[in-house]
Amino acid sequence: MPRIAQGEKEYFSISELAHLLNATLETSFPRIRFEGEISECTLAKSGHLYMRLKDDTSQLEAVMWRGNAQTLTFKPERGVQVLCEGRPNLYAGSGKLQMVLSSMSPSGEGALQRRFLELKAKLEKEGLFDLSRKRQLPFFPNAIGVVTSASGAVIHDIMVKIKERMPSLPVYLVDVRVQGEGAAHEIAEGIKLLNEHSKVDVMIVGRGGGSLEDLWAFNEEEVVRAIFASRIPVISSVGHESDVSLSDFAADKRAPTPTAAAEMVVPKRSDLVARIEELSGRLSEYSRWFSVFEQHVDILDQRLSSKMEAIFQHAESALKRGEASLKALHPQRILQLSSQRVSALEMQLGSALERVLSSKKNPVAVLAGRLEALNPYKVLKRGYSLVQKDGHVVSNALELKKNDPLHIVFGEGDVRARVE
Amino acid sequence: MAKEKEITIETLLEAKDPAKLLQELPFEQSLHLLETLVAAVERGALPLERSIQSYEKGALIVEHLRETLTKAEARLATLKRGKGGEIVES
Repeated sequence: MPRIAQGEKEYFSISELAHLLNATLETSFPRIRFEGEISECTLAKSGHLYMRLKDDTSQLEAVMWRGNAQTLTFKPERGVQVLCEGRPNLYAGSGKLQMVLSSMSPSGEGALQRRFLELKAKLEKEGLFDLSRKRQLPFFPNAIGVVTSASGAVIHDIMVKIKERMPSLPVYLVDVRVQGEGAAHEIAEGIKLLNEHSKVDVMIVGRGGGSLEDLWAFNEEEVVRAIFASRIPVISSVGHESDVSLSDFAADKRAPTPTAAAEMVVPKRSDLVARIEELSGRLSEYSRWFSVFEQHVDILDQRLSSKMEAIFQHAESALKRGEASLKALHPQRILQLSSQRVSALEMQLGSALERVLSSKKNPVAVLAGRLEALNPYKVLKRGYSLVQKDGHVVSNALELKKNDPLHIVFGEGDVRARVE
Repeated sequence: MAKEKEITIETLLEAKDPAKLLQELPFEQSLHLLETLVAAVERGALPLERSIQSYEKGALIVEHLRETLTKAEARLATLKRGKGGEIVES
């Protein structure tokens, strides 16, 4: 109510007026969102943030109380464009109108983040991020492609890793701008170039750390579509580990750093060498070969011993026959002759037996010893031959008929023959 | 991307030019082939004829793989699109 009446007119005090104005503002002006540029900014000792916000023709004072000011995720400075939410307040003490801010964020980032989410939703819907389409990375690529800035950290870190693990691996670089106007187009073209060039089995696409704005090219639709369309698997390495870009979603694999990306595709030469040497060693272990040839030696041995057995028996029965027919002749003369012949036959038998006994042992023992060596051809050099008919090895004589054509391989050379 | 071929031990043993075949195979496949081959020889699963051939071909693969791994220095080539749209390597 007006305090002073002067005749019929009523006059409010300044305080009352200020209070009234403030009350009007508060009721008719609820929370409002607005954008402006910070032209002045002071953080008082109290923790409250005092600012001036302007646009081209106007300015307003603004304040953010300590509680809210402490939760700011960026540093407010002169020149920064900000998005704010707040309420007007007329501070009676100074007569100043100020906006009391409940929230403030840098205008650029806010807009970009919204765009990011919109794009993400749109492209996800199209299936560009589908897990099912992600390809396997090659185990040992013939060559690696890289789309990044020639002067950046990405190519540098990758080359370091390659020199360490597999220096012989060729790297093809497409030098592109990684931020700013036109960067997205260059990156997309780089990916297409590598696909056309067609010598790499995998590629790494990315750039070093930066703000959302710096990394923005890797969120552009053009780049995401190029990654999706790439025949060659793509690893993305964009920004730092905590940075997320739409390229990461479209890529076949995402690496937190360029070094990690290189580790995903470059196998360690030392590991591979070890694996090959192990296999080579096993291949040379001929104890397995031994069993194969043992079989064949056994067969040969049997044939040999049955032959010798036959000779022995033949000699024995010849001797017996001789003895019998001797008895039929004149005793004296016959006895003389016969004892000579007996001794002779005895000797023959003896040496035949000797031969049988020693030769029976010999080939087998010798073979057994020699065969712990190596190459199957060494067996052939021992005098054995490999007999083949129609390209197949013959190990059973019963398989053969008269006139069968044979191919016989010796330790040295080979011949063609026919069975008699 | 390198071509994916179905190569078995049989294919390798019967190939007219096994060295050429190996050149065209991706490293991974050659290595896998060698492992299969060595395992088969060890099992004694192969008849004599095959065993001999497998030993020879196995040694061939080992040589090829060793050679691939000991090739020369790191190579960085830069690619760009030339004026006529062709790819220029430097």
